[in-house]
Amino acid sequence: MTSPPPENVVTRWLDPRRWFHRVVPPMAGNEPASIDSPAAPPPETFWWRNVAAAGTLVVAGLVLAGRLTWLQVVEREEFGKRAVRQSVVEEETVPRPGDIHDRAGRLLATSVQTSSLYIVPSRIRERWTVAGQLADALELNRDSLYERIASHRHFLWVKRRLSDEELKRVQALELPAEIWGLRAEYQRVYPLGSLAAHVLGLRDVDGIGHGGVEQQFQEHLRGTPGKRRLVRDSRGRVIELDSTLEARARDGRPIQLTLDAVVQQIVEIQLDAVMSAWQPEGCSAIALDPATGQVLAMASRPAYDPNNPAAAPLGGWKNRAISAIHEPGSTIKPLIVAHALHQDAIRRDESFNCEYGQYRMGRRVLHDHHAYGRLSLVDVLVKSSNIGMAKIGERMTNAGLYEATVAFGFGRPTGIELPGELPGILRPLDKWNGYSTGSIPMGHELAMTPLQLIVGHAALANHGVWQQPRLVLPTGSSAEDRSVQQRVVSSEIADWIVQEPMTEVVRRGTGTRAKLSDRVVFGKTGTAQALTPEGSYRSDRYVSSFLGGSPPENPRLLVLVVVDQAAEGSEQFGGKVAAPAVAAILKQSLDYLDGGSAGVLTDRPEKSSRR
Amino acid sequence: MTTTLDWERNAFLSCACLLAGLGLLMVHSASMTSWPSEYERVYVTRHAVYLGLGILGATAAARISPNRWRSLAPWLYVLTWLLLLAVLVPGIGTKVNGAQRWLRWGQFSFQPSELAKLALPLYLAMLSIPRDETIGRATRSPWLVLPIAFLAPLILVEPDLGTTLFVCAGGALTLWVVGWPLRHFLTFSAVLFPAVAAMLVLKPYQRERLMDFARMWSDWSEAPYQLKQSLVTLGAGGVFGVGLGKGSQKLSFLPESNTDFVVAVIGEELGLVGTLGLLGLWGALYIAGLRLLAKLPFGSFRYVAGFVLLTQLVGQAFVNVAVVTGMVPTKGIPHPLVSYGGSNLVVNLLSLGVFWSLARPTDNTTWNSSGFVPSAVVEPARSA
Repeated sequence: MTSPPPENVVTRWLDPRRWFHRVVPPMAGNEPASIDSPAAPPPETFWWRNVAAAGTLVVAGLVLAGRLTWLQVVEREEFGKRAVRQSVVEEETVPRPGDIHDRAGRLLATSVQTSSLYIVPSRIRERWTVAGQLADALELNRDSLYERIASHRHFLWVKRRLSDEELKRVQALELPAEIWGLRAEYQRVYPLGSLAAHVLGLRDVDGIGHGGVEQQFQEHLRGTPGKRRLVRDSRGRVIELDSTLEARARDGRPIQLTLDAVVQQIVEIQLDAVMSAWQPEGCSAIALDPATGQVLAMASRPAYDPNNPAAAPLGGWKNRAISAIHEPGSTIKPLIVAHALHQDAIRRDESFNCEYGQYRMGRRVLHDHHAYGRLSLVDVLVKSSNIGMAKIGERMTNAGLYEATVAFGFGRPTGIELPGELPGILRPLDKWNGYSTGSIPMGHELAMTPLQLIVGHAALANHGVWQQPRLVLPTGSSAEDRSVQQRVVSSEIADWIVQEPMTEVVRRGTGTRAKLSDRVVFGKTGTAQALTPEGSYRSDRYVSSFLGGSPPENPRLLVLVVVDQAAEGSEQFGGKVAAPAVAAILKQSLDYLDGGSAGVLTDRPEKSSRR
Repeated sequence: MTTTLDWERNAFLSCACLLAGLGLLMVHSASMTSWPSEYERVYVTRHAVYLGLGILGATAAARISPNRWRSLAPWLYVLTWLLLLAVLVPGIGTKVNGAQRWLRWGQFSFQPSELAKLALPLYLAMLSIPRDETIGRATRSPWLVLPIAFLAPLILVEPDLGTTLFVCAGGALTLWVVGWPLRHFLTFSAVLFPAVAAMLVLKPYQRERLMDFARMWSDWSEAPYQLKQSLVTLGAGGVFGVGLGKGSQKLSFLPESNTDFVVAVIGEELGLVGTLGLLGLWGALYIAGLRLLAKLPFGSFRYVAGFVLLTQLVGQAFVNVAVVTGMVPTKGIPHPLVSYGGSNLVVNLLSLGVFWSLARPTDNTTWNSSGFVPSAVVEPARSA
């Protein structure tokens, strides 16, 4: 063999031959006899094969060590996150939404706890059988339920907010406990049905408010969802509850509205009567207390039942009181006259030549419904003379008319606590022309929501001070209780307009149908041609309105009814269509408010409980 | 009498014991489930019983002389072959998940294909190397491929592709070490590769598995569920691990956490320290084993069989780690000595015992509690 290497520990270890063959002299009896034979190669010829095999193994071991280091050091971050992500779930716990009350504390919207049924598809062995049983119990489609079970793993809502009968039927199935469960959820309930539906809005399955107060006070009403961390295994079973990171859900707070459910009911009954009598496309009504700007009732037709929103009729979602705009027509006239007096453009004792029904302004000829000669200022309003108003307009000039419309809040939202309020249309002064001088005083060339119109009139009824309408009852302490106020005309002018011309309108003018036997009513009629969606006039349809209040000396209630595009009857004058409804509302509401239960308005509660 | 063999022997035995002990510990930890059950106790008890059986078997195997092993080799081979045949007979073999691999007696089951890992190398080495000769005079007939060809199809049809490949690799390694001509290797590769390729094309489930594996390299989140969980489990451990018993992946996310993927659990609980330590133990065992072999006449039956059994054992450990780290697509290869597993653990311990017997300093020494003791022939004094 080869000469033995030097007896050095290091070289001994490094010599590969020592790994596979002992270099020390062979043991007795094991001398390789084969070396003598030329046919047999010496076994050392095959050393390299052992070196190759063992070397491959060693290299493989080093590669694996590298791979492990890569996975456990370099990629540790990502894998670690993944391990947490697949086992830790953050679950939201639902807060109970706050109740909504009317001004007397009557419940308008509340939440009840219901059970929602979920299943864990991955634990279901006989999907088709389970799907069939559940579908029968809950009246669902068997095939689509099966599809849903097949396409989910850990969690599937079968049906949310079960009724009591459904719950009983499901429990009677006696399904294996690990495949199903019930989770408590809150269902919004509106105990008074469709009453004030447009004001209240809706709260959906997930606790989100849509429309109305429910949307406007979402944060306040909804509360704060809680959170908890669950550690679960691959089959979705909860192993551990991480209580250190648990945040309790905070329930929503209640809210008290200025609405009075009784007045609201009175108003809605009248609107329904108008709907069936005249078959209009829609109508709306608002009742408010002019002294405080608090809205006692607001209703719109067509309406829907918030307990069954799926059955809502076409257009039923729209709250016409704040989102339908139309030209006010004659109803605006008292406001123009009041501001003309305020601007000293006219005097109370003046009279106007009404030209016997025909008056040319530039290239335009104005007409009155009846021919009048000279009319006093009061009679211009009582007879609702367009020519008389046009002459007042000429006195005020466009700038004065513009000032008047702005002063009464037209062209901008009133700021009521509801989503979706429209600002109406008030064109900038530089777009006005000679036509405007005649059109604006009779309520054309500008458009507004019913709410804007009644809030403008409330300024007169409130002795000349315009104030922001409100829907949430003031608590008596916070800064937000002070509403925006603005004096528009002197109380002397305002009171005169209400007590003289507007009272005369009902006594002997266009609004006689609003007369009440036991109460003095003031008011103003209005009729304007309806607008097409393109903005031009429709000759066959009218928007009729009547605004009335009582008593004239110190108005406690102001009511506006607007009827949109009445389809029946030849003359849709506001006096004919809307005035009787307003009269009925005023009578019943004031009787109720004067009666025992109605101390609510006279001695206003500092704080009406609940909070 | 203290010889220079002492440290290698001690190191070899220490590594084997450490690996088996780590296995017992990790099987206990990895058998925990997310829901209270008695599985952890059931598994660890069975594992301990198998471990005991295996140690008894290894001790007995170590006491048998190398020459006796040489003469037993054909009988062992025939026994294995018959058992493999028996597995395939309906009513005798037990079918689990569509694969017929087990023989079962009551509580205990046995997988004959594991025995093939021991029988085949011994038989091939015995066939090629004449008694009292070395590979210098070895038979290099192409017919040496027949023992492999008789055995492999029986495992393949169970079906168990992973074990088939592993047994074939063991046979090929034996032929390689005895100096089988390279041209034979080339010839049989030329025959086998098309056959394997054809099988992959014909068996959609194997092909799908390969495709999944290939996809994983571009985006690991595309990996098959089990492999993905294995990588996540390893990675979550980091350098020092989350602590023994504290791993969460084994509770439910990682399938086969106490058998084929027990190394992933080691990775999560003991970290890189644990996994590299495991590789280190195997490395140390291999080096100690090679040092023991180096004292034997090069190319003798004892040398060749010992080398193949040792390399095969360490190789299985590495293949398992490669599977767990997503480098090799095969499945069904447990980690020797560490994974829970009845017959695999027993056969692996048995082959350690056989190695211990083959690695005796001379043919005529026997083993007792104080070491190798020459029974008939005294080793000639080296100083002379």
